[in-house]
Amino acid sequence: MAMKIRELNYFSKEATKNVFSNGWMSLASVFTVIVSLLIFGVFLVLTINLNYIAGQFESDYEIILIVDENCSPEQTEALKAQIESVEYVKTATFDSKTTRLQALKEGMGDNASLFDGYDENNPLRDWYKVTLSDLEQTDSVVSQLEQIQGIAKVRLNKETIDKLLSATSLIARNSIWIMIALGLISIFIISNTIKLAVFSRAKEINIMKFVGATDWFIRWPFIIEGVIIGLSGAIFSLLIICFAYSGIVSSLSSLGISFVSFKPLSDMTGYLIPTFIVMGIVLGGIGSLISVRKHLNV
Amino acid sequence: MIILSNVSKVYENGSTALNNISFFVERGEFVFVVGPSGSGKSTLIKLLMHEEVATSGEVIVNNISVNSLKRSEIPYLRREMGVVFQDFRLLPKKTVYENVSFAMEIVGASPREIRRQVPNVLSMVGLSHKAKVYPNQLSGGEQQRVALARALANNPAFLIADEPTGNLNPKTAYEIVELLEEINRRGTTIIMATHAKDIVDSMKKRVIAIEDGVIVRDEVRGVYGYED
Repeated sequence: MAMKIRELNYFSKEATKNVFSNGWMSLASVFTVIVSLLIFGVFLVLTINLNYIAGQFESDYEIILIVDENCSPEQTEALKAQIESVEYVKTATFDSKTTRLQALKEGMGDNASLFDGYDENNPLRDWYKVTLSDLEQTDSVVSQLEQIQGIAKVRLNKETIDKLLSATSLIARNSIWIMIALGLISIFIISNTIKLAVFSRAKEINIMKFVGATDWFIRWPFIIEGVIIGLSGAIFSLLIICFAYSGIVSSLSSLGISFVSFKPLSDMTGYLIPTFIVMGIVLGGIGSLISVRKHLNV
Repeated sequence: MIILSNVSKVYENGSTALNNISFFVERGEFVFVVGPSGSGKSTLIKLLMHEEVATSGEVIVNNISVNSLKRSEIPYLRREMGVVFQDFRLLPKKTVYENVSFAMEIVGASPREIRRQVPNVLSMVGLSHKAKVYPNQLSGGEQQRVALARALANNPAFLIADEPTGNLNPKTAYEIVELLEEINRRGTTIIMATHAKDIVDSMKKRVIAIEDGVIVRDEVRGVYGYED
């Protein structure tokens, strides 16, 4: 299996020559890789965005900490540092009862006078809005927050959190399997296409065997050829996905869909480029390896 | 040298191709293996190249015990010999030069050795002027010469020819056999399976005749004494 530079040189030359001399077959194989990787890529893009959006919901989710009414303003202010010292607390924002009463009044518009009597005797409570860096840790964070002197009550919607968490883990868990399945299907399709290309060269392989070529000497040019085909397919499908993605994202945002934001293309390419390059190399290489195997038994 | 000792070959379908044959070929010999089609001479050639494996007995080629070779060792057995087939088996997308040089690339010859040796063997078979031509532009006889050049490129001790003249007209066939004789004079052992009896008779070389899987005649006396 070890290769000398001279052999590598020979293998690459053979592989490149073969890609061009079997022009139509190579083109068909590249096309197969493009289609496979497009299907794979669409799924990858969806998964990344679902995770991204779920992450936004997670990090936006707020827990309300109601401050004890007996706390002086100084004590209330000091709570912030205590809250933020708890692990997994991302932000703690103070929301005073006065500002919230004000907000209520504004919300009522013309009927704001209804609240006039409350200025002296505000029934609302001061609270802190807390967001977490990891929603999985909600239970332990809440129990620590409850220990803090001056926090009267922790208010959260456990059900919403659980739903969010199960949605995210569902995406994460299943997307891995679906991607593995898509990868295997792609290898199958691609190796079938390459098999046709190899079949037309069964005679050539046979001759090489009789002249005394080792299996690896025969395999390498085919593997390199497969990698060239896989890489070209990867580059084309990468371009298609990137153009389509930026087009779809910009048209969605022009429609005014603002409650979720999609991952910007510049962030996506960080995932897409390495994934596609690796997939292209692996699909092409393994596809060739599988297709040549049968013909080596002479 | 080549030794076959009590070799039998029974195919999976139960037909017996070779039945307990033994012979011995010394370095530098020129041996015809003759017999009607289906007599077992093709099987004999296949056993030497490990295309088939003997059911029983020993096949020894250049001190290599062929029957016990591992899969990964087979290429090295085949490098000990040059092989020529009835259907030439040239690579259609490679030029005459490339068809020969490729046999040397397989065994890891340096570019310098290749540049020296390929014109050498091409001139030996008389095709120097066709180096850049593709096989489909050549006559049958010329294609077989290219196959011979390829078989000789790595200076093998043996040349195995399986019906090399089977697809050629009589005149061309004689030219190929004369070329084989010339190669033999330079020291290469030649084993040629053929059913062209007229060629065999005119050449006056050792003849091993096979019928129904057994050797019925071996014209060089004393060889049989080896196994007793």
